[in-house]
Amino acid sequence: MRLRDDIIKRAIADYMHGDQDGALAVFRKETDLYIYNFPRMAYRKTLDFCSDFYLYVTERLDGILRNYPLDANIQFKTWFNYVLRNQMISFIRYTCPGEPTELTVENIDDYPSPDIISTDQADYTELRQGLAKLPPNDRVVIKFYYLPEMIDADDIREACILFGITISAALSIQRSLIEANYADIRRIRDVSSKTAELNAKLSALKHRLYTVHTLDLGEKNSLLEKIARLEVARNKEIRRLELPDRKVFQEFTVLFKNIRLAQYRLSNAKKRLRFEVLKILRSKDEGA
Amino acid sequence: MFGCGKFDETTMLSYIINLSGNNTLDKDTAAKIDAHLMECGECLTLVTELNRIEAATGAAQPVHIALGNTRHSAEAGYTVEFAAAVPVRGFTEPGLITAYNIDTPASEIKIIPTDGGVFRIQIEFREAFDQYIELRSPGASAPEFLKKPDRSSVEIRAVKPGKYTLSLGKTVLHLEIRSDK
Repeated sequence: MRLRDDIIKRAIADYMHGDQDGALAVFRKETDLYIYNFPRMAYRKTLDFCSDFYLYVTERLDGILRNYPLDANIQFKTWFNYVLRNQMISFIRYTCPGEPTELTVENIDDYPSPDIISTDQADYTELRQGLAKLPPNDRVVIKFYYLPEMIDADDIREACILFGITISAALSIQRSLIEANYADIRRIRDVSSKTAELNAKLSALKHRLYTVHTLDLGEKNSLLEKIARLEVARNKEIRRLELPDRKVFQEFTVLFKNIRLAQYRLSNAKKRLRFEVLKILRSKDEGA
Repeated sequence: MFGCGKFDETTMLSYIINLSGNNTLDKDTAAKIDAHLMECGECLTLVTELNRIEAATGAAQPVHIALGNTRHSAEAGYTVEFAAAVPVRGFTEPGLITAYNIDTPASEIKIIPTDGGVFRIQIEFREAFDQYIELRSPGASAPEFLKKPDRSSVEIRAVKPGKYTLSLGKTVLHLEIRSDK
């Protein structure tokens, strides 16, 4: 989600030196959606949390705007992320006294499914335990490729030692991988919704073909043709879904000397993680 | 103060902007910060976290929400707060009724005060609605109302003031009814 730097900076300058109401209206128009969505985008909080946080921030906008360093040449969005994160810490302290107030990747919630009937939540406990048992080099490889959002300060430092890169290079790669991952998720969602749409059309046509007995041969033939066309389109979408994401792998290989080494290290790390997770599951079964 | 305080906020934020390829910081300062981050866990944790947020907020799609749909009916003595991930048009009808129009699914939602301090929620769909409708209090184990109506009008009776999530199929609406009495 983008924020328009020039318009917002102008609105803040106006707010500090002139027409406060007009400037605040412009600022709110540009940032309302961003403030509302911040807890969801950054920590996958629920929409209920988002609406309470939004009200909390809007009550404090005057102080926030007055603190913006207009003379410094920094992007508004980066500064605002820093401010909103601090506001979220204050908000949690305000609403849930006694809860830990340091926000890190550990505070990312599993966003509830929008499907009201499904109540199953994915459980990543074994995966987390398995990751913790891996040697640092394998853990870093898995986190960079599959879970770039879960990379913490220790992983960044480990990556610098392991791959001989600077901190800023490791952070840049992390950022590119997060962006590539989001793009891949969007692609998968897009393909899934198209497949669901095609499935709904197909089931309606098949239902008509098998249950309406008054159809003549010509009508049945045309229905069959439509079904065949839709099935071809659906299979094409399913093939797209199964394709590995090239962009993620491309960003990941920057860490290694060549593609083969990247593939080798990733495959080894995956095998070790699978082994550790299986060991944890087995010991759980034996304990039960 | 940013992290341990060795570098000021503006310099550290410029360093984070620099990570996306914008050259907002000179190479010497960037190298000094790199060296410092290798030593200082506090600053590295904060920089890693802000870098993650910067990437996530840049790539994530916003949920469009209709904000500020608060209706206060002084005469009736109640306030309704309504938020949704779809565009909402709210208005007050004669007879102390608060109504909202949404497009997905096309419907009109009316909140009507009744005797005994409870409310009636009436949902009129533009066409027969065949998905689940659920009214649930946040954190409650069971919904207050769950039905697959298969017709164009649904009524939820005896709704007490409080916070609710009203799901019309996959559209989730947030509703808070506050009684002033």
